[in-house]
Amino acid sequence: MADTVARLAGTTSSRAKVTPRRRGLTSWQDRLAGVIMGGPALIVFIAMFLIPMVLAVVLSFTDWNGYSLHFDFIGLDNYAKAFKNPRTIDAAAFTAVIAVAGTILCNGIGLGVAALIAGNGRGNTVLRTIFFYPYIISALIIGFLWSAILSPQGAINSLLTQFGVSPLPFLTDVTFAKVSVILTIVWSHFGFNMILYLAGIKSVPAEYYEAATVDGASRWQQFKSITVPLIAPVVTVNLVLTLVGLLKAYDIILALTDGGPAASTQTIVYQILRDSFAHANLGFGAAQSIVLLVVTAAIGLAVTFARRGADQKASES
Amino acid sequence: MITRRTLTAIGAGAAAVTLLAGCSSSPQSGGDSKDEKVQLRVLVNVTPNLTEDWWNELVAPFEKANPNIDVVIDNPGQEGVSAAVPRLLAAGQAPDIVQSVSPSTDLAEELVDLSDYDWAKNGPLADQYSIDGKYYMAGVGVQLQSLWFYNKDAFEQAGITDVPTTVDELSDDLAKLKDAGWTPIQTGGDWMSSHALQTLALPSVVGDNPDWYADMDSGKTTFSKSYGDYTELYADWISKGYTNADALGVKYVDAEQNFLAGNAALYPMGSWFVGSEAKATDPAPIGVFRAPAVDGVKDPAMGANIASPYVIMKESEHEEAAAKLVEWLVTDEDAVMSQLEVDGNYRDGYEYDMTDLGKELLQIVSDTPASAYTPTGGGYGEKKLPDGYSGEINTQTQALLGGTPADDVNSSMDAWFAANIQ
Amino acid sequence: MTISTQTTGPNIAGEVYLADVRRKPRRTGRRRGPGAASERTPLAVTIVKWVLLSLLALIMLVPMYILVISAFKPQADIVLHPLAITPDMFTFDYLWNAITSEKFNVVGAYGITLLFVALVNFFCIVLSAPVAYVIARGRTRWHVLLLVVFVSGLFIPGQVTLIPVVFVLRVLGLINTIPGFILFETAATLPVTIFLFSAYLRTIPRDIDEAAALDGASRMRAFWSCIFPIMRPVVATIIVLNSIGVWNDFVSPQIILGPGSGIHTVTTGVYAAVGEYSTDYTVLFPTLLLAIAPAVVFFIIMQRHIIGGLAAGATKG
Repeated sequence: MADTVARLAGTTSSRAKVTPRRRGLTSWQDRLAGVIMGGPALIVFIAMFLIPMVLAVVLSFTDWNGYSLHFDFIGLDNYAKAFKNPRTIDAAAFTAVIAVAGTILCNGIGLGVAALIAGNGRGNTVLRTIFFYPYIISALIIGFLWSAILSPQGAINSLLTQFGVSPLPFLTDVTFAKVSVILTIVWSHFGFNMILYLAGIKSVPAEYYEAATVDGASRWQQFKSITVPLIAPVVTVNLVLTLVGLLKAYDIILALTDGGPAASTQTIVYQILRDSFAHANLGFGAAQSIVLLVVTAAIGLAVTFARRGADQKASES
Repeated sequence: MITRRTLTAIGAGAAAVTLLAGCSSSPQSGGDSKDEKVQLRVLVNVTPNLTEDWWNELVAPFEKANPNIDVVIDNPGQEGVSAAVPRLLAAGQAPDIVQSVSPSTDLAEELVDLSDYDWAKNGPLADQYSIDGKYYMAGVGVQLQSLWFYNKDAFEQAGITDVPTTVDELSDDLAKLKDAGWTPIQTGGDWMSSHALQTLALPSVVGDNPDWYADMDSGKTTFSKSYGDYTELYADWISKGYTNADALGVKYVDAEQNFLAGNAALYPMGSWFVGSEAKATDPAPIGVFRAPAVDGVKDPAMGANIASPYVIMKESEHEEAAAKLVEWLVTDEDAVMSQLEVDGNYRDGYEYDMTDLGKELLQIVSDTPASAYTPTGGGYGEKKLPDGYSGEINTQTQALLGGTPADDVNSSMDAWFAANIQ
Repeated sequence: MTISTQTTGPNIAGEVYLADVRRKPRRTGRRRGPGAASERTPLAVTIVKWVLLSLLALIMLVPMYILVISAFKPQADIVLHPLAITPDMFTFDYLWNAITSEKFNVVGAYGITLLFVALVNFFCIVLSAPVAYVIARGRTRWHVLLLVVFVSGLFIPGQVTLIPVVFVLRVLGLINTIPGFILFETAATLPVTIFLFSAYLRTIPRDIDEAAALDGASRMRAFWSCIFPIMRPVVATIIVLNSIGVWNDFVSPQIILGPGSGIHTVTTGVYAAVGEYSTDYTVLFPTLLLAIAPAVVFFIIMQRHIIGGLAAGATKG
């Protein structure tokens, strides 16, 4: 409240004369307004996030199949199973690979491209649209499109055979399939990273570059010493968003490989949904969900903390 | 900056499309039970033989005879019926009738007990599918699964005069076919991967131990001990190139078309293939023989499942109407004939026009005693394996096709059983 | 102005945004941004740069090209000549089949999905803006806690809550209904929206609050008539983000609006129509084309606003 008064005292408008209305939260009218304004959102959030979370935790300690009228509490059995079940472990491992490799590739390509097209020309605007458009298409459709292109009779293999090269098992060999999944995800996602990097790059004041040019620094040196440190917050945002987002990969895999071949491209979310519904093992699915949640939160926080140093430096510049 | 005008324009456009949508789409009102019109939702297995059109045509006479009942066919899409059912149950969106799932102890709680109905109690394979003496499903006929369809030209060219009667003979024949330049076995990458392995193994595994299902489910025996030899044999066949090299990338529909076109010698498949062959425009000359067992097994088992089982969900608000529909589906002569014919199923007392292939298969049906019948896949009734077995054995067979050693597959299956047996 | 008690990652996005908004009025000579030194780059580097960019652009565009032309070709031609389209091959048949398909009523799905997008955006903004305002203006620990609670939703994968949400909706009697779906989707948009709104609102001086209050209006009305109009840039961002998210969401409508509802969104409709027939290219490509054509066209026309909205006004140059 003192803050407000001081602020008002500092304004030069003619309104300075008027008695400031108390904004303190002691006024019950203000309080009521606050509750009315904040209430609905909070209620919706509790109903659709908090209560389900609690439910998920409770369910994870049961062996409920989703529809039966009776179930048993089985303590930590589901969690033990999650850590021992080869399917879960494989799915988790592959999800981790997608998240890490995907993040590195998306951000690397996104930043590189952003640096190249940061200018204001017409060509750059067109390129921007071209690189970004896959992001607005649903992951499911992208998956179906690429499953058609990479399939044994798809466009790529068809062209390969026409040139006398034997077709490649993009989606039918275990290793190839994993790589195909990651590259397809990167294809559809890096445009988003690029946009954020573009915003960051363009927000670096031109004076810095001018000064550096006067000092004789090359464009690459300018990029390394000015751009990269100053866009540190954008880098952090990108890293966190991409990592957290890729951990949830599902739609694209459902359409591209349906988890195959031989269940090699299943992700943890695929596993969770399948266990919860198709295998009628809701308790187990819930346990895996909770583990996923903890891991996601941990990764998000870890990356943010790790980047704090760089972010501080950037905001101080 | 998006101006207010742009926003209004967008808003108007959106409103227009929404109105259009309201006119052109007619969302179902989800089975509101008005007194006159009852809507029954039937979740069915849609296959190349059992197309959505075929299903709609099948129930049309019933709808005509019962003008107050509207039958809606639900297609589960890519996930299939058995995966869709638990999900729909959990979401409270269960259909009225489900086709092609077999009752299990868990599922039985959600099913209407049909024991009082004659057509359920005395239907084909009724006893085998009963649980605790109660009858939860009614089926149309019997389908056999341990069968090898073969291309007659291929056998001729490879110099094979008699169909194999033991697994060793089959292995020898495969070698001859390969030498003659044929792709010996046509298999594929989706759900059908494990079919070949099961056709090879079940006649021997269950022929040797008729209680195999119960023993596996209770942990009395392990996968490696009972099934392991056959995984190894199949892996051997794969490494010798007896299966089509592109198997993992081929879907069921395309695999079947490939065999019908005469591009492979053997096709392990269930009796419903007879229906596909009958529909094909210019199929290769195809014969069938019963899947053999290894030397020493006196009574090879024959995989036999109920054809088109129907169950009624307890959640249904129209149990009486549903019972009426199911009764009609399994007793009305025309309906039964249509269902038998389209999928090459068999039932005593129902004769339909068969192709030559159908007649060959009928001979096998007559020659096989009911004592040889065994479930396939995860089993049914009291002979059941833990949930998810079908998916797991399929995944592992795909691993074999991808070159994983048989030992790894055997240990994985052992681990799976250890983790999933209650 | 730093939100000092924040420790979660996405906070940094707010920092970038704030930094951007703050710097804009002071920026001079923006035209000589990062691209300014281009006159000094050697020709070789420029050529390499444009070759790389063109190659990448090709990789982005060829799949779309294949999608479009394959919608008008029979199966054999799609497989044998993936990149070519000649008058002999050209046929409307398959596209017409897809349009009139009973499995997937395209126009209906578009309408429904648009309706969902509109409703979710509406409810999201109506719920989030007031609570963000309360958070932004509040000074107590409770307000910070409120923000943390909402933002924590960012780390909770949607699929984790989806499964228990099914049961919550069942209890509320909203499963399989449009209101139920809207409720879930709106809740899903709250974390990002509230975070961005509150960050933006902190940059708005409290003088404006005073001015609004002096007119005697209740806090609620003051907010909507005086403060909200100032929030336009960030509202634009949110509308873009939420629209893309809701339009492309697959798992939520698939599970909440299942078969019994008779409602298909664009994504669930595509899955129903294509799912099992993904090797029948005469079904796959026309369906995909119908599903994405209007969205892509809309994007190309509005791309300036869309990308601009996303990049927080930084690309308006």
